[in-house]
Amino acid sequence: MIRRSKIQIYYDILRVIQRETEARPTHILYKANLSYERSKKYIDQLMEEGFIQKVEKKGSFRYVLTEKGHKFISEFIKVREFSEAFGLDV
Amino acid sequence: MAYLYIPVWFYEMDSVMYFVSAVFGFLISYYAYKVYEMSGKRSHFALHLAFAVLSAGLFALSVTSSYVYMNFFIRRVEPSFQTIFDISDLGYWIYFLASLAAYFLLAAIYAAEKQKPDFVPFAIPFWYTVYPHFNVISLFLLSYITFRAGVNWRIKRSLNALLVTVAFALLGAYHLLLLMSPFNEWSYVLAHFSMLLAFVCLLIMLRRVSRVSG
Repeated sequence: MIRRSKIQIYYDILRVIQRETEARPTHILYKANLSYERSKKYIDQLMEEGFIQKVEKKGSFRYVLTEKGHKFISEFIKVREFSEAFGLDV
Repeated sequence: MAYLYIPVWFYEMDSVMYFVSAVFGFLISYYAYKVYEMSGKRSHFALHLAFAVLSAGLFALSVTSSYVYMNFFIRRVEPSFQTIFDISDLGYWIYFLASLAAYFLLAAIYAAEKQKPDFVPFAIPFWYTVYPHFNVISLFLLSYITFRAGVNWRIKRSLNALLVTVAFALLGAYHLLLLMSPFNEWSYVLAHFSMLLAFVCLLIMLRRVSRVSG
């Protein structure tokens, strides 16, 4: 199994949140294929970087994408395309 | 770089081709640096460096050859291309050293990648490899780079990967045709069209990548 890079994991988490518009932490760890500890670590990092925001809805926490998060996704896709053209890992 | 047969009507056109290729190469290098800033991967930085060095070499060749052609057109001084101290030869030396460094970097990037091919073809005849010439070494390195890019294209099946493979193959053809240029002046002309087309392929790939949206 190929080890995912940090930005690949960032992208996977952000993509889950983008698809669901508002994602619960359990959905993120399940769909981004991460352990609880790792998903918590990366979600905290994404919050610090300003890619996602925590919102409270009906007594539970969910995560939504910020404008910076949307921009990261579109930039990452370009980076991945460019790297794949040369056969390099992202 | 002695005894190149360059048709007079092609004078200055090759300088323009070097310049255009250098600009395209710098664009690839700039984009690779942007990718490196995001990924932090050494392979992306090496890609940026390889194209920056290659483009700098092409730019140097563009400037020195332009100077030589201007001397020819204005002062009617024949380009000699025969001694290392000649300004045009200096340009060639800078270009060849820069291009070799760039090709070594590109080959190192592919050699370090996990995705290894099952076999490595040695498509170059043996007598070529014992001939000590920059073009031969470049051709040897580019055959490996093209092969690895081709393996990547076979796996990914994307047009962008194909464009990169074709670009490296055309750069290889450029060096092969330059090797033949002492025998036929058309080789020199075709070599330069091949080089320009290689960078056009890379530019098309870059344009396609920058238009992808999430």
